[in-house]
This record gives sequence, C-alpha cells and structure tokens, in this order.
Amino acid sequence: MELIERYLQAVKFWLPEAQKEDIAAELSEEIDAQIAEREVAQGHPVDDADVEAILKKLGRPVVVANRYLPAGHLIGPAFFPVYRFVLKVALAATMGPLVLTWIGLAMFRGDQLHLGALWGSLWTAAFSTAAIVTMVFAVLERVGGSKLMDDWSPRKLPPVRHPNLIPRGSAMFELAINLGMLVFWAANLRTGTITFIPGLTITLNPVWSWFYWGFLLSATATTTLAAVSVWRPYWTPARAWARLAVDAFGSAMFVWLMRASVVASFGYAGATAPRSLEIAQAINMWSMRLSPWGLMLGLVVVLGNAYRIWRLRRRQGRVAHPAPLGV
Amino acid sequence: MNIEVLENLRGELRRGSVVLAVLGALRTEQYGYTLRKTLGDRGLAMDEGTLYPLLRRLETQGLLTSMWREHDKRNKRFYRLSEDGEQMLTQLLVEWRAIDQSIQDIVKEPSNGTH
Repeated sequence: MELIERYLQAVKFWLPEAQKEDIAAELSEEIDAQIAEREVAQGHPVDDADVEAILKKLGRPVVVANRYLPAGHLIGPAFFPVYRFVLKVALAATMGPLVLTWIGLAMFRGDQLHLGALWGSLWTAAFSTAAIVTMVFAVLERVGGSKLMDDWSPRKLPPVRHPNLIPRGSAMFELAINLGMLVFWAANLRTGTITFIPGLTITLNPVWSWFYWGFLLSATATTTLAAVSVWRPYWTPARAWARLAVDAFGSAMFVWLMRASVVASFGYAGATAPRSLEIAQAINMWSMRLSPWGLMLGLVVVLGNAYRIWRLRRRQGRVAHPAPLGV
Repeated sequence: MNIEVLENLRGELRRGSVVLAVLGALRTEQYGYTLRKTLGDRGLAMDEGTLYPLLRRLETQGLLTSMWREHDKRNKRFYRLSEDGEQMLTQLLVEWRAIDQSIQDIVKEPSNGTH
C-alpha cells in the first residue's frame, strides 16, 4: 500500500544509512502483522482508514526514527547547571550595562534616542551572548570537558555564606573612612574656595553650598549607619532601607554635581585669569559629558541596595524566626 | 492523586523491568510481533516504538542474537537470548529478587520509630 511505503520512506529519512533498510524491513513486518491481526478481528480486508489508524498509532516518523538513534545532547546533564549559571551571569553582564547606559543617555540626550533602538540592541546582545556561551559549552562537552566535573573535593567547597552578616572588620573600616571624610569635608570645603592643595586655588560657584550641605548630610548618615553596623553587624530591613535612601540621595547629588558646572575658576601659580577660566570650563564640560556614566554608577548602587532588601524580604518569608529586626 | 505523576513514576518503574521481561521471554526464539503479544498477554504491554529499539540495543550489547528467516511465507526477524544474555539474565534476576525482597521488607514495616 502506498500509505505504508510513504510512511517507511519518511522513517528512513531520519535513520543512519547503515540501518535504514534493516529497521524499515522490521517495521514493515510489524505493520503487516498488525494489518493481518485487524483483518482477522474485522473479518474483512483493511482499507486506507484502517492503515492510517495503524500508522498513526505507531507514531510520527521522526519520533519513531529517533527512538533507534543514540540519545544526543548539545550540553549534557553534568555541565547543564554550570551552563545555565554562566548564561545568566553573561546575559546580566552584557544587557545590564546596556540598559543602564541607555537610561543615563536617554535622561540627558533623550532627543537622539529611541526605545526601539534599545530593544534592538538588547536582542542582538542577548542572542550573541547566548550563542557564544552555548557554543563554548557545546565544544567543552564534545572534547570531554564534563569529565572535569568528576574531579572535586568537599574540602575545596566555599565556606558557608551568611549574606546578611556584615563583617565587623569591614564595618569598622567603613566607619573610620567615613569619619575621616566627614572631618575633612567640614574642615576644608565649607567655603566656595578650595586652597588646601598647595599651589592650587579652585573657586566654586555659589551652587556649591547645596552640595556641601548635601554631602555633609549624606556622609553623616553613612557614618551613623556604619557605627550601627559595628554595634550590630547584620542587615535588617530597616537598615537596608535607610542605606538605600542614603545611597540614592548621595547618587542623585553626585549626578547633579557633575552637571552643575560648579567650578568657577581653576587657578595655579602663574596662571592668567583667562587660563584659569578656560580650565574651569573644560572641567565642567567633561564633567557634564561623563554624567551619564555617573548616573549609571548611581543606578548600580541603588539596584544593589534594592536587591539586598528583596533578599531580606525573601528570607523573612522563608524563615519562621528571622534575624533580629531592630535598628 | 496526580495521574500525570503516577504515569511518570510507573514509566520509570517499568523502564528497568522491561529489559528483564524481554530477556526472559527471549529464552525462546521469537520475532518482534509475537514477543510483543507474549509480553502483553503477561501484563507487560509495550508499544512498538519502545520494543524494537530496545531489541536493537540489547543485540548491540551482545545479549541477543537475531536472524531474518521466512515464516508463514513472510520474512521475519527472529530474536533469541545469546550466551552472554543468559548469564546477564541470571545476574539481573538475582538483583531483581534482592530489590523485590528489600522493598517487601521496607513496606511491611510501618515505621522504625525514627521521625
């Protein structure tokens, strides 16, 4: 029957050359046996509909052929979790900066950018990243790299992590640095004229007073938080929110500072007034141009803080008795 | 009860045991269709898509031998257990009985008092 021949031809298409005829002959024998059985049961010869039902039950040709083939995979089970992890990290590393840069540029040069352009860049970045990572792992799999996974020792595993613990040493270091900065800031940057660098006199515009008080406030809050962390060295939701607020405020102030053309003149020994003004304008211009990167940096800091809060909330949801919820 | 999960677990349970059944049934020479009928009649129904690739795998592993022969005026491929296959079947039956015994013991004891 033509239907059977077409079916066998379709199965053979997917089989290796050496096995095609043998497997098809055996399959043909099985189909013949099923037809004979059906004819006995029905008491009359089968028609096309009966044959179609038998072939349909056998399965789609490619599926039937595939059962005869050795199981194949691009990336095996030993490597797959590593592949998935690397893929996630690589996608975040390529697409994250792209989005952040776009946000930074869009905020200051919005007339030149379109969301469509970002969307296109994201797809290109995602596809090329996924393709490269997949190819690397596929090659590793082919050359037997997954055997490396057999060579491991429990002693080489990383120590247990306590993500909400703040190492006391780093908290004390942060406290010391912030205290030093606070004292330095209050002592040297109160006025709009910076003279503490020998040979340099930098004059700042009146807008500087906003930055002086703003950063002083931010540094005071950071110092206070660092002091609390020395006393109680673990993250709590309240402290994580406070840190997010302080960092968001500091980042916003920083971006504003970069765009505020704050330097009025940049004087040094022997510099003429026009030269001092020229240098000040150059500093202001470059500061302005680099401000999208400043914004990107600020966003990374804020997102890091947001992630910490999310992690704390998730942990609280999972643990019946969470860490102390004090300060 | 989740029927899909049950079917998956049944499939996993049967996957290993069908090899034993096929090896056992092929102590007598048979061709694919009659083997499938034999297994089905004994409560271990297998579809063609599972049986034929399995027969080829077992033959490649040297546990079965096969030959094309005319039967009822048709060419059919007959399979039977090889010598290696017989030894393997003996070993696997020992394993099978040990597993069966262990599971019987485990399900017989309601609890060992550990929680």
